Amino acid sequence: MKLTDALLPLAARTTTGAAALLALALFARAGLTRAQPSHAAALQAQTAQASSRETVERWRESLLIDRPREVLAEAEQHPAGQTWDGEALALAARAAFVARGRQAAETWLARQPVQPETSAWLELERARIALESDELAPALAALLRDASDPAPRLAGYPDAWLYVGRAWTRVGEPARGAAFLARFVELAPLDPQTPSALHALAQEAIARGDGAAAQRWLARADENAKWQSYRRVRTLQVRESPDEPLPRLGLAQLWLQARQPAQAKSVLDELLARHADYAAGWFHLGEAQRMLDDLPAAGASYDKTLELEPEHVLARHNRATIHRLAGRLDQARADYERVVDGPRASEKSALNSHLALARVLAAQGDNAGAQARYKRYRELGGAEPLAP
Amino acid sequence: MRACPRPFHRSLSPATLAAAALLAGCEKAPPAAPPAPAPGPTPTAPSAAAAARDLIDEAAARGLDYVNRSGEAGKRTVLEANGAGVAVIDLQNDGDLDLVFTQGCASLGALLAGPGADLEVFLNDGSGQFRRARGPGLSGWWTGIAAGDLDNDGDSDLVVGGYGALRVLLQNEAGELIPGADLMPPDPHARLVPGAPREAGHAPLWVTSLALLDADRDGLLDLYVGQYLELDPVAPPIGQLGEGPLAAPCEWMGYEVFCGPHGMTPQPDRFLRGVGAGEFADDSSRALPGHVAGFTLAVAPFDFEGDGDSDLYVANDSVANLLLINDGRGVFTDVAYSAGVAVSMDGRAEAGMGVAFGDVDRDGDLDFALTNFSGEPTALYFANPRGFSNETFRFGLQRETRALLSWSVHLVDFDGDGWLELATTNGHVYPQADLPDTGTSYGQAPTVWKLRARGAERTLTRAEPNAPNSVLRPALGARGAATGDFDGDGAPDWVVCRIDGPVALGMNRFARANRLVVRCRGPLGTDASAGATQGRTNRDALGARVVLVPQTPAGAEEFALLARVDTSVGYQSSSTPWLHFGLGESDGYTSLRVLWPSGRVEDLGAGKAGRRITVEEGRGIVSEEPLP
Repeated sequence: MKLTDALLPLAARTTTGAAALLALALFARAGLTRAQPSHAAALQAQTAQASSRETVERWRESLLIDRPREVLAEAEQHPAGQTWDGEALALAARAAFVARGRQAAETWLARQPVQPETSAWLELERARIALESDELAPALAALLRDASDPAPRLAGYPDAWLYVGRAWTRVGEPARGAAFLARFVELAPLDPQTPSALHALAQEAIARGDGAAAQRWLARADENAKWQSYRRVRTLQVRESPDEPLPRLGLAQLWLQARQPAQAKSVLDELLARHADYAAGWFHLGEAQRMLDDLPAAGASYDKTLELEPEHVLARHNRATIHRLAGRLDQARADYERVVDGPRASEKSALNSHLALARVLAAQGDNAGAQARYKRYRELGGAEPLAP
Repeated sequence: MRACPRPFHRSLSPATLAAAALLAGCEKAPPAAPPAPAPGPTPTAPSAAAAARDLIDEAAARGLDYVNRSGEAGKRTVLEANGAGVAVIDLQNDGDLDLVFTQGCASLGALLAGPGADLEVFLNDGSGQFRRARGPGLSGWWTGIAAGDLDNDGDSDLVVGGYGALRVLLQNEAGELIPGADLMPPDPHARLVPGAPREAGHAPLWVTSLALLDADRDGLLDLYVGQYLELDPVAPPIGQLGEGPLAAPCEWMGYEVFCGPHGMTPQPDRFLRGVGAGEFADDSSRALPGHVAGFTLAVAPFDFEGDGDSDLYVANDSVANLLLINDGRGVFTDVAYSAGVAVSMDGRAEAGMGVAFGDVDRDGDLDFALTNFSGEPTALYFANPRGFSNETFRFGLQRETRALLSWSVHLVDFDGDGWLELATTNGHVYPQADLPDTGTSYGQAPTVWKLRARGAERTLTRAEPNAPNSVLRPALGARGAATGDFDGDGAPDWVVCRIDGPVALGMNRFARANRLVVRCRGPLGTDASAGATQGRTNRDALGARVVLVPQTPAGAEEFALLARVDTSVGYQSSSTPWLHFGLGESDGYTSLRVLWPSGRVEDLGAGKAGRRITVEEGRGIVSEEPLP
């Protein structure tokens, strides 16, 4: 199964974060229009929460590209006495563990105050540190109520599943770890640790002699690892060359490939804020909006693409399709005709425009025209029937 | 309870099974399925006995004045980070162990300008005192080295690799090393000749570790050539790889560092078949079908299935390692992934740097240790019926080695108690490791740990430096290393090649122990061995397995010790062909069995410890002398 297929029904943790951010931003705007004194405190809290989510995402990204010092430098600016988001504090501790060692990490984990509803992150990080320090039994004891527990205490946290699975594997009981690792993969299909879990599942399958399962897990591990590797490099390139459009475009394409249009849109929004005349950016934004079922916005993005690059075949085809779906057949026909009569009409990317135009003509009652266009479609290698 | 051999399904030869049967009568270990989480490693405080243990650096006092050069202090290219190796070799056939070091240059520019470095040779007077001898007159930047009798004339020769060079050195009757076959391929760009004009755009072949083995058991040593990556010496990448907006910065922990290996192009390894008289023929396409290039840093022969031939483990930097299974005719197939040793337990391709084999758990098969980058543990794998099990975390090696970047590795019984120690040289590749918040440091002292594996119990005890001049004390980076008994006391010593600094010679000053030191020899010249069933043993007996069962007092734990004759161990280095058995409290053994590469099995019966013996195939013990 391809990575993209595997990801379809699953919500990545990162996506959840981005969606939450988006929701908060919308709520904040709505709140501003109805601002009441009694709502001010709630609004402030929401803003702080959004800021905290941004921090967490940024720190996760810094750790992804092996820059723990960035996390520590920022974390050290946290005002004394100000409440910590537990997830952010856990990430600071993780950075300290890598950069300064265990004692430094534990010092971070002892910081107060922490938002009570986020304190589980600290428990998880302590278990993680135990695991990374080869204290396998204490790690398991921290994560499970008892050794036969089929789920971690903090079952709502994907990392808890990962750590239990990894601990069982490391003590030499991979069969006990497999279910935990499989659940982690379901919960966090795009986590940087997902290839690791998939690999462990492949090894466990080998150990019990199930070669077919091992091959499946291994294929997923390889595909996911490749995706993670590209993500890491693109993120690094964005950090190094923030004004260059290509790295951001590449990052957005990765998110689209993984069927994470909200993440892609976020990257493209940033890209287009810097390069408003970048046709490829607008086209991919249209793709992200299309995947988010926001067809009016997608249409507008394709408009912008075509303004900048009138012979962009895919943008014109997609805009035509949006017109067709909205019943604007004349506009759809005009766009399809521009493609199939244009300089790139024989290219593979234009093939579907020939078919779509034939279908629009048929829908408009121009059967002769439809047949002529369909004939050309077949000549170019198309195999679909004229009738949809 | 007696230690039991594991069930071993990897087509064990009857001879090995017979050896394992020496342990018959032991109890079956209970299945390891604890209802509660398994215990973690047990940290052990140094005991009074441990306090006496040490490896004392006596290099300077013993005349060993080798000082490594490995480029500039700033390490702007990866070539400058990898350091040198050392070969333990008997020059002049006088029975003692001499040393030959590879050497680099002051800078990449100095290499291009010439004249390049020669090897550095040190002769042992038999007591462990060394004097510098004339080198063979080579010119280059030398890296990996391997010793063996390449022309089957009864003395040891060398093959040495470098950055754009691979050369045979044959020992003449005067004990001098005379340049022999040039093993570089015909492509002129593959070779780097110091001082010769060179255009940008061409990378020489970069040889790292070498392994001598007799893959097809024809009595002639073959050569596995580990190769690293494409580095253009005229225009090496600095700061970033690639150009334009998609260039990738060369950084580590947020600091700019030299480029590679990530993002650079690996060079495929080569397999050269020995054809006699110190000559080799490139047989890579036949011997390594489907080989995938992988930034090789280390390679070690061993016997995976117990079928008597030599397999190979190849440690690759940043990509999956290889476990190459020999079909008996010298054709190798990679089974690393299915054996569980291609990547880490977490599925990460780590920076394999060095590899060593030994029977750590004393169950009759060969386990191995693999060194890695900082942030990645030195890994320890135990052989099991399906491949290997990763014991790294149960021993606590991740905690112990996380901050270390380790290179050469040996599994050797320094203290003679019958359990192997894990010894690694360490040192970061990036001088930037000394900048804030890296979690590690550039200079790192060598380390030795005692390993114990009894049933489910795993313990790891670090040997702390006690003496001021302990080789374990100075936090100076090192790369290659080799073991050998240089002063003839029967205890293995440890020579450590520091990078950009003076060599260390760790003389074994662990407590006196019961030992047996064994040298195996195959037939000289083209003599065939009576009783051979699977070919012919090479003169060095590389690949011979020796199983020794110590005599134990009633009630004491019985165990067998397995060792295999291999000199290509660790990183870019070649260790002694002598096997050092520590017998612990036993002053003798009840059985000594040699399984020769030819297929012949020789039982040498019982004997006393405290001896150094030479066993020749078909002739039994041909010489022996008491240890002092």
